Amino acid sequence: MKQGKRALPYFWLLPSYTIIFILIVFPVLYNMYISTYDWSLIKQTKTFIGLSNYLYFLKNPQLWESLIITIKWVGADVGLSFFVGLGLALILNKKFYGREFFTALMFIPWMIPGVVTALLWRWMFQTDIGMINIILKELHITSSKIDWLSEFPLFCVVVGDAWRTFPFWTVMTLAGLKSIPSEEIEAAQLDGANKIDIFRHITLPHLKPILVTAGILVTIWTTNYFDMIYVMTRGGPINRTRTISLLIYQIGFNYYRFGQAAALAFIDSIIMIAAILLYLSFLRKD
Amino acid sequence: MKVLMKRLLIGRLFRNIFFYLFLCVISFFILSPFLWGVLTSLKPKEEIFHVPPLLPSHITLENYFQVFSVGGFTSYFKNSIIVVSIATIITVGCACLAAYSFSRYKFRGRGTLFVTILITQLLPMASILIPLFLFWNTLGMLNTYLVLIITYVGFTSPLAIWLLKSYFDAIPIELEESAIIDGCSSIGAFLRIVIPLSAPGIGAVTIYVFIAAWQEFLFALTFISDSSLRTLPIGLNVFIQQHGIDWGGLMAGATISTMPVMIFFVILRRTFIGGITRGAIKG
Repeated sequence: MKQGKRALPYFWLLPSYTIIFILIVFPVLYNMYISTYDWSLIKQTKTFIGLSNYLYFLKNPQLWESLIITIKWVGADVGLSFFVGLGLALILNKKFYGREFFTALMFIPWMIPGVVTALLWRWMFQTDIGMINIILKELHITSSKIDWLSEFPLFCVVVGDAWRTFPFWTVMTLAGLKSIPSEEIEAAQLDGANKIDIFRHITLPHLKPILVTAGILVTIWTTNYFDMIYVMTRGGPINRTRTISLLIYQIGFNYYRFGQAAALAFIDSIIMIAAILLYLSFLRKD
Repeated sequence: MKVLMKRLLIGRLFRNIFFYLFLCVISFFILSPFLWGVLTSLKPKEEIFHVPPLLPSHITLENYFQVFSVGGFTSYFKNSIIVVSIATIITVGCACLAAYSFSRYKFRGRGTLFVTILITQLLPMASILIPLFLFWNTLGMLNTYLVLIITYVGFTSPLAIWLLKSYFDAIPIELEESAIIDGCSSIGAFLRIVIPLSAPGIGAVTIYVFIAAWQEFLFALTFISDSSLRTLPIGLNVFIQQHGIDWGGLMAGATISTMPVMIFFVILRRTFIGGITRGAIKG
């Protein structure tokens, strides 16, 4: 550890932190300020109304519906991507020729820009000639064409995003699996444990810290993820996929009610932080 | 005895073949959306809506030509390259400095400032969208390259600093100390020892920053309304509205948008995958 001239370390930080301050710290504070105003571009007014915007939302069903949709979205997405990612990691954990190649292949969904993923899956779920309907028809599972995006929009966006997210779980799990000491597994095998026992009593406990960290990250990233839903369904149809981030965007940039949107954004942040703290304390219990 | 050995070996062979087949099928399913998109982009327009047959009668680049000439993708591509490259260089450069400071120096507020990084990662982008929009609007900076560059530097810096710090931590400080004893300056030690040794880590972070900024959508959507300044993600989004749903053109645009990232990835995949796991576990 260096103890150089006193000002020097701060100097090194200055470039990055100036920008971070402008980009993040300042906006958060400014956002709180905006949320206390009735500020609408259409009305061209800006009047101080204190916490009225917050009360408006707490009484407004829009917020609660959005919250429920957001919870469903996050739960399904994280869950699906977790199982797929974990499963693939277990397969890729065994040494075999070409393993690096296949692992790299699994990364591709994560590499693809979110907008592109949304479009690709919109194409897959397309009613007339989307791949999903074609496969279902060829396998004679259904006779009629399902309009996925209109009837099951949440399902579509979840599948699209889980496809994008699972590589992260795979990479994390693989890293975790590599860190399990092989002596423990060998000892257990000598004691007569079968594969399921080893998985439950050795693999999972070792994986837990990594999976928890990965889980928190994925949950945070997914909760407010805007791109996928906006490009696939714009939040519809009839707001059935309107998560909180979509709602904030709509209120701010379709209706231009900045004060309200700012209040909603603040509520969103509080919920995020509360959820994470809850999540962490829940897991500390074991 | 020999028969038993033969049976075991054949059994093994079958299992191997079965395993590889299984792996290929899974890989195919996983990649199918992307493969199908690329295939669609190479089909002549008349054939796109006549599926089955899945494969095109001949491969054509007409969708790509259309998208670059009439679809405006040349300018979208140019805008994305300019904005994202500049932002990446600035982010990684500044983040290296900041990460070095956290890694090597002890100073007041060190812990707090570092924790700030983690907190920024928790924030929903929507909560800074509106104040930033109003702020840039007041300054008249909407619809400029600069506004996007600054934004991208801002939102990728925290994680870049965090990851770089863990790479720098892995390099023993004794190396710099002996260089300084030999007459090297502090900055010299930084540039000539730390940077070269942590090159893979820096490479991984650079790729990560580039990819994150390349696909950024929300801020580009909100801050830029001038069609000549649009980035690729927004160009794609707008393409749907402008041209009805011309799936051939859309898939061509989508493939173009993915190319730089793919190229990066293919060349540097080992660096990237290794880098992300190491950094994440250490952090």
